[in-house]
Amino acid sequence: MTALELDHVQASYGSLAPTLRDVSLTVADGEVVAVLGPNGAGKTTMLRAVSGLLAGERGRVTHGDLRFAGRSIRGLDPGMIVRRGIVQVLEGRQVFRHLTVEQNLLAGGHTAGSLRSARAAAREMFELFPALAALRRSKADNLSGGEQQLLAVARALMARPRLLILDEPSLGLAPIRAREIFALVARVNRERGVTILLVEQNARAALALADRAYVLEAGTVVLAGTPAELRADPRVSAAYLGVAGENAYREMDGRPIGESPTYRSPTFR
Amino acid sequence: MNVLPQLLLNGVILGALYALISVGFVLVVKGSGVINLAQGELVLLGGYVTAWLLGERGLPAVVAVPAAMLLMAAAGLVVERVVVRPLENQSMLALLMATLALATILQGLVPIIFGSEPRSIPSPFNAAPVSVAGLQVPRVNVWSMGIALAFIALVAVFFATTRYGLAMRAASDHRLAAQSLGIRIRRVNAIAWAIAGAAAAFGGFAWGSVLGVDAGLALVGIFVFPVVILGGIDSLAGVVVGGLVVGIAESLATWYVDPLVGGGFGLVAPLLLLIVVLLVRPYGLFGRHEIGRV
Repeated sequence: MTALELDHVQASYGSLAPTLRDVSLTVADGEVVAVLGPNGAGKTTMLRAVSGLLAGERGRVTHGDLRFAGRSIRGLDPGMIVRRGIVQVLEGRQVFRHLTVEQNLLAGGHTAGSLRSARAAAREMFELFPALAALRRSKADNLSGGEQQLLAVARALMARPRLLILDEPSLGLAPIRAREIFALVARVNRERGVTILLVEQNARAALALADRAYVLEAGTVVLAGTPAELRADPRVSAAYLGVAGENAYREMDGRPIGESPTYRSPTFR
Repeated sequence: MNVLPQLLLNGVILGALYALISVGFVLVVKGSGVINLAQGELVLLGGYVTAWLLGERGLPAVVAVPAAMLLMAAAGLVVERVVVRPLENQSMLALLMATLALATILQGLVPIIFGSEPRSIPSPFNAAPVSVAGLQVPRVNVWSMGIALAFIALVAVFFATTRYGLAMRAASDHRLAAQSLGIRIRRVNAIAWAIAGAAAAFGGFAWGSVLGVDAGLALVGIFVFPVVILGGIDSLAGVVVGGLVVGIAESLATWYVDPLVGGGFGLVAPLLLLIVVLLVRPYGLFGRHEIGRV
């Protein structure tokens, strides 16, 4: 079953040229889908379009449709989209810095309808993440980056998502903390059956985690496939995995990625 | 006779009322990021509504004051819907100008609706003063202070123990993150404006009881700024402290300085204090550092 479907989505901010030119992608129920791409490719814009969060920066979806579980979510307010089952962990964690860990979680449980059910859900999170339980009365501001990311994920889980969106979860984290976060995402997918859509700079980790991946460049999908297929593509290895020589970079100039020559990095497995 | 205790007590009473209307202002700033320049005009409107309910309709105070607070909460909702929401996602300056316009419109509209002659709010209390630790205080002042502090305490309880209270704190901490979790910013804003309206109604009643209700009542709105700069916008306790400092400064300055300069200094003192604090600590006495950097 298709969970999320983007159908030729175009989005822009104010009267500027569209940041997202034409993006079509699907995420099936239970899948982990990764989106790779350079800075400015429109990855965050795409995720915010899904969550209905563009309006704050005067952005909007100008063409195309976004569907979740078969129903259009284009133009819905963010609160409604969360209630449909899509919750996003924003880039840079964005915990409520002046609230405690516990209050962060309870705020995440806002859509549970009552503070009592939010409290029950928070207890569940503390069992799931004992590291957070130890910090429950700490101000989120005092947490380390890794702890904040853990909190941000747990806070999003409080809203009981069917689709969890993560925008650069490893950004600014030490490699070992980043690995923990990826392990956590895998666990959430496996144990709780939550579908995952992930944008990530760390392509190697993202491809290790994902069932399928897309490459977004200049506001459009240039490549899609399984991690094995993408790893095998020289441009992906050159630009995102950092294993190819300068040949591959040169070949990227102006040519659509699909026409890539058959260069293979010798070091690539 | 030593007048200092009496002056301090007067200052505390005044301060509680300043704190009350400042709470409304602070909630709106934190909730929707709007500097509401019309808070004083809401107090003015609240004063007239209370005077109308108590005086002309002849309702008893226990009915009229809560009714006025409800009506003004509704007025707050209308302001949010008509003035603030159409400008959501617009610049801070646009919203600032809109509240300035609202202030001017209310100043013009209120006399048209209620007439321009000053009104008095018939005191619902026995005229005999209360004796507090040997000091004589008008009964209405004691009640006003009590209700103002109770109202603030109620708001604090709302923040600490309710789902929407928590949502408001989350939204004021990080708007986008709150939205990403399904917290509806519009509803949060609406609640903030409703509380601001209710606080203004009670402020209008309390000040109107003492000063009478006329256009000058809107001036109390100015004192929101020293209160907020002194107390910061981060905690209700800070607002109460800011209110008390401003109230006491006004009370002391009125007694000690006014006779020397021919009057009026009591009203200037809190604003001088405001300038001094801004020079020394641009982010306020209790404010977070980042506020100064925005």
